[in-house]
Amino acid sequence: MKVIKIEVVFKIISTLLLSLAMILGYSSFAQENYSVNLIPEELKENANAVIRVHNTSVEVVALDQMIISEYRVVTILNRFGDQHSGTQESYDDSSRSILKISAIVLDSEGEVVKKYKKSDFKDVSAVSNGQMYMDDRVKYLGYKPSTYPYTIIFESKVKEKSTAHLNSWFPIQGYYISVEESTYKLINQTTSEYKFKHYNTDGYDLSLREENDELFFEVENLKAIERESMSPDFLEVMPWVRIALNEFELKGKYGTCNDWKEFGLWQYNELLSERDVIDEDTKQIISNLVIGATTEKEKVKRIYKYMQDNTRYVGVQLGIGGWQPIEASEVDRVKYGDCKGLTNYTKALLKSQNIDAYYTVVFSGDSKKNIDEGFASLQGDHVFLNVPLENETIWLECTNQTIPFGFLGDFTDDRDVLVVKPTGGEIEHTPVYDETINTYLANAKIVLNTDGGLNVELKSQSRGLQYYYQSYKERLSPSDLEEKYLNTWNYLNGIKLHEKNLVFDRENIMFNESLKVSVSSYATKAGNKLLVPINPFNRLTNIPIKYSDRKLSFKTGRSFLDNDIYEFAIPYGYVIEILPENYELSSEFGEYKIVINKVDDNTINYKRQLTLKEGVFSKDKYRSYRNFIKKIVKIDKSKFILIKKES
Amino acid sequence: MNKNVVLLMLLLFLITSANAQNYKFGKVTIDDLNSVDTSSVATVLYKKQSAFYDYRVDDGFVLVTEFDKRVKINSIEGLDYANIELSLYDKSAKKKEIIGGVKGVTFNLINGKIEKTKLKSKGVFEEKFNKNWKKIKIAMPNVQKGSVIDVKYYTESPFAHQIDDVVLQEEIPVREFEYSISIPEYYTFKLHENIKSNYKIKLDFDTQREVKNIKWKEKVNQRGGFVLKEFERTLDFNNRIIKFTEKNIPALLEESFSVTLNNYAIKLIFDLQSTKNFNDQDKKYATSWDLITKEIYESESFGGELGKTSYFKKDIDELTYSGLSKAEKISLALSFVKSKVKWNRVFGYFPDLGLKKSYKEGSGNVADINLMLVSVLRYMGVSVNPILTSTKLNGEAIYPTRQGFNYVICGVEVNNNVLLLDATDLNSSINILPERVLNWKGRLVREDGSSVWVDLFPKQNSLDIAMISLRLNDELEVVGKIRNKKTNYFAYNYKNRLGGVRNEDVIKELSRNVGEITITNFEVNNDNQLGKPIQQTYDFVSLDGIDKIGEELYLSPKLFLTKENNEFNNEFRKYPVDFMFPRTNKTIINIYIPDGYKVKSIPESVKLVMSDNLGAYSFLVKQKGNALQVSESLDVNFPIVPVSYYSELKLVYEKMIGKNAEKIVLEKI
Repeated sequence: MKVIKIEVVFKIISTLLLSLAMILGYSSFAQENYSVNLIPEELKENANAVIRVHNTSVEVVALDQMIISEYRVVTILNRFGDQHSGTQESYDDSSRSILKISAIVLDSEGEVVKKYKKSDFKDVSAVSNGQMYMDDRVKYLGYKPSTYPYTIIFESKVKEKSTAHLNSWFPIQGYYISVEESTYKLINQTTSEYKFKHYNTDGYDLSLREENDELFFEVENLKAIERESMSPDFLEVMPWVRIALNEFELKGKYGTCNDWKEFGLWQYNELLSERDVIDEDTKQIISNLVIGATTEKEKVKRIYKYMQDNTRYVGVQLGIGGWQPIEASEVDRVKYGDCKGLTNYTKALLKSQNIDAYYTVVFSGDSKKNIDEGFASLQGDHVFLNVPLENETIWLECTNQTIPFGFLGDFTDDRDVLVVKPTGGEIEHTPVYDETINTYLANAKIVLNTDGGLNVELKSQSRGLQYYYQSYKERLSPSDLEEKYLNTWNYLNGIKLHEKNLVFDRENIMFNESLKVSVSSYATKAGNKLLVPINPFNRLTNIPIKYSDRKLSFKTGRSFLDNDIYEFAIPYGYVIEILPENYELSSEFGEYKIVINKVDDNTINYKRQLTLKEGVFSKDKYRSYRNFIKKIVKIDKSKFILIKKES
Repeated sequence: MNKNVVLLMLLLFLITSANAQNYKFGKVTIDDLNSVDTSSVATVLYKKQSAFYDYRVDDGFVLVTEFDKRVKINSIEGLDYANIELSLYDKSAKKKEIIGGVKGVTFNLINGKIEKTKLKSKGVFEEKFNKNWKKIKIAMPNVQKGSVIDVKYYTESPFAHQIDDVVLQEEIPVREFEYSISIPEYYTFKLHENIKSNYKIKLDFDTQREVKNIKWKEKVNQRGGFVLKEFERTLDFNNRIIKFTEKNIPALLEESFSVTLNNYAIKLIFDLQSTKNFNDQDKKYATSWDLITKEIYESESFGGELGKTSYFKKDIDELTYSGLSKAEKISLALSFVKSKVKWNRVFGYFPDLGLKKSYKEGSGNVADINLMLVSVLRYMGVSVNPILTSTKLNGEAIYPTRQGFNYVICGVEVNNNVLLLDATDLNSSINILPERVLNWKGRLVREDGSSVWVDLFPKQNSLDIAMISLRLNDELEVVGKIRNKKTNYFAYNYKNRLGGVRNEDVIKELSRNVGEITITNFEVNNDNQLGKPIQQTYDFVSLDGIDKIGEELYLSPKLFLTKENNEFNNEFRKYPVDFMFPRTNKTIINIYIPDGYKVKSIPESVKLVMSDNLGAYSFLVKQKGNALQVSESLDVNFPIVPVSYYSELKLVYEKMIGKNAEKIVLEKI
């Protein structure tokens, strides 16, 4: 379980997501027949919605003006398809305006049921949860169908003053959606060059045409794709095309992005330079703070702690389309900011001590996503800080008050990021946290009583991401914490928590937990025997879903190592009848080892070691992965049997 | 700040200064900054709310409320309490609430000295949320763990008839809350408290005479037409003053299975009883349920809508219903209205668009839809009446206030029974209502305007019955067949979740987290039929649920249906347990003993009955020839289990989980 603030999400990105969920086109179409009968059978398979036609046109009139038109006809087959009607458009007060928006609802025969004009659309703010201020708004239709299937024709035309971000082409916009026809047209009336790149398009028959200043993509008859658990990110499995201009304007600022060096330099000069100045008073505070620090690293650490202790995250997306940080002096005054503001502020504090640090752009989130090294364009949804020291590079997350120094959690680890330096942009890779770092060691003394109950002293130590995943406990109130334990172990009938001692050692990224618990009914009785599950506290329980014919590759979570040692004292009057056997399992997905020893007549020692490895695997390995987990789940449920001594 | 507001502030000061002791905006003590409360992420040290009526030439009386709040941030997790958000009604220039006088200061203790940071206008954000509402968000500056913040502002509302509930309780504890309101005699409100909070607010009452000159504008007929003319007079009237100071108000805590928390918050509720104009002419508002109901019923937009039939007449006539029974007519009308109009997620007992328009548009609010259902049924010759209700979120209709209701459904009186109907929901049917409606009582209004209470809680236990027969094959896999029947709310919930979902996906759903199982021959009936029970059958092969240890077989009698998790491990409970509807879960399992084995031991049978017929649990195991029969049954006979029965409920659950874990042991002959 992770508790971390959802970072934001520059405005451009939210626009991108919105455009994912909707679409646009040419309006000059004579209305075709959209009767449901005309949909080919194979496109209805697994489909909740069918895109009949979807045309996107991006017309770059000048570097400070483009017109985006969408024409989208979608047939919704059942109630699960309603969410794909896509009848919405985003805009904002400053640079994006809706010129036209309309919709027509058709019945299954393709007859018009109702027409909607601009004023029929609802208008709401699009400020996402946890954000204080953005000027994004959305107009949406919110049509409620009374019968299925039905078809919606949606048309919109939007004028955008910024050309730094062009719509990507996503012919398939979600699972369970099939596509009859999808097209994308870029009309470039400027002298800027455009560029594009295909992603995951192998096996798809996309046609491409370039003539004069037009770029045109088309695809037909794509079957619906079923959602499968553990599949990689949508953008890693669906076909799409990223498109950008090499020259652009962002809120009136001209720029070029032929490569990352150039684009990084532009970001540095236009968005960051001279915004990292703090006043003399603060500088003095920081200078006092680092007195006595013997190394650069120690200085960085003290300054980072100062920033963590004195600021908080508040999402205020202002300035150059949400891409420019608030000035460091303003953050210094109010002591809050969004990721850009807090990162730039930390950079300014370091700069006051002549320590170089670089603003770094990243795609955040536990699902790892790279800034594409081979395609320079406006990318990323979060920023943090890169501090190169003589012998090591330190990465600082500036929006989290409790994360350890130099630790990234699973929010920005192991991915390509853009480091913005005064000499230009550079792509670097963030640290990987593997099973040698993400460890959990537990040791329990378990006393079993004649009623089948347990008294336990459990001590454990979590490191790396295992620390990170537990660190939310530090923030819970005592009653919520108690509730959390009872919930985690709700399969232990009549569990009580008697003592708990939690130590979060941020310095060493280590969490020490020491608990005393009792369970009133644990072992089950069967005649004169007691059946005792040998692993009360750390069971793998979820078997991956079975797919007879898996279509997508799959991805496993961050690598970790768990090592549990339990010592059972059996109750007076019982003897050990049967112990489970030792067990060992190894595969490319990880290792599992169980060792059980009878220490003496009354004592059993159980050792469990489990390593699971992160990876993206082809679909044909899913079966063996599932079998691997299944086996562990089964062995984790092993029981030993005690039998009453004949008296 | 305009002149009026200065005046208001002055008046406000006069009213409240007598109470202000320790609190003064912008002045905190070192003790406040030093105090640490680890039990909560933040604490409201002090809160003041002072309201009064001010007279404006253009608007008449407006309700002005001044808010003051001092919050201590105890930990990093409490930093969110330094962001303040409020919603203001903002429909049109005349109908909008305004905010003003926003001030804020953050206090920090730096080297033993109090350091202040003022809120600047840059830290106040306004967001036009939608057509009717805007949000004001305030981000206090320079806030850290240990900071104290002071915030003040006032709001003005043109809706003088309506005073919002004063909610005393928050997610964090409140040390002191000082409240006062001064209401001129032209408005009379009745006060209620939330009895469910188990808290009694100590109210003080007072009267204060006021003499003031007022001006207003009126249209007067003069030669050449109407003109707007200003009038002036002196008013001499009494203000009724209501005050309280409450200390150490505990935080509202969340619990699993809890009914809507807001229903339990300590609050003071104002209900308008009468108004009077400056010439002492009274207008009375209903103050009993009977009168309130009548008043609603007789208004044109409610009762007046029920007589109209022209818009649906043609469509319903095409359905030829004359030969149908009453029950069939009801089902037909329900499906008819559902197919014509979809709910737009707006509550209310008054129509939003009007029935005719919403019929044409295909969408409407609760009243548009359910009053239409009443009209259609009456047109079909079924005697039916609207029932005014309150949703779970709105709280229970305990005190007679118009705000007590926010929803309307329909009821057909049959003998001594009322059949309840709600056409706003996809899978609702006769007496199966969406969860939001299952809230205590509603007021049924007959055509003659008389009204009675109707119990909305489901009375009949919904059933979920599984019949399983199973045997062991040669590989010691468990092979069996399940027949499962779900009625009423169990069926309703199933339809909401899985109605119309493809069988393959239902099978995936059924296979989730039940170990290794293969399901075949899956069939389900009625998952798209309103009101019908769900019948589900399938064959399965399960690799779990049986252990061979030595020469013995250990079998979990309920296999993959074994209930392992206990939701009621907590020793104490603060709020009632909300089961939504009374229920019976029953499982009957026939196990064929494999050749070459005999029974060595079976779990002991148990039977528990809770007091006052609240619920019961039984687990019985019998051997019959070469078969074992296991039957388990859990009854919870009331939708809500009060706190006083929690320990019994906990005991039942503990016993049930324990029994589920026990094994049948078979041994080789």
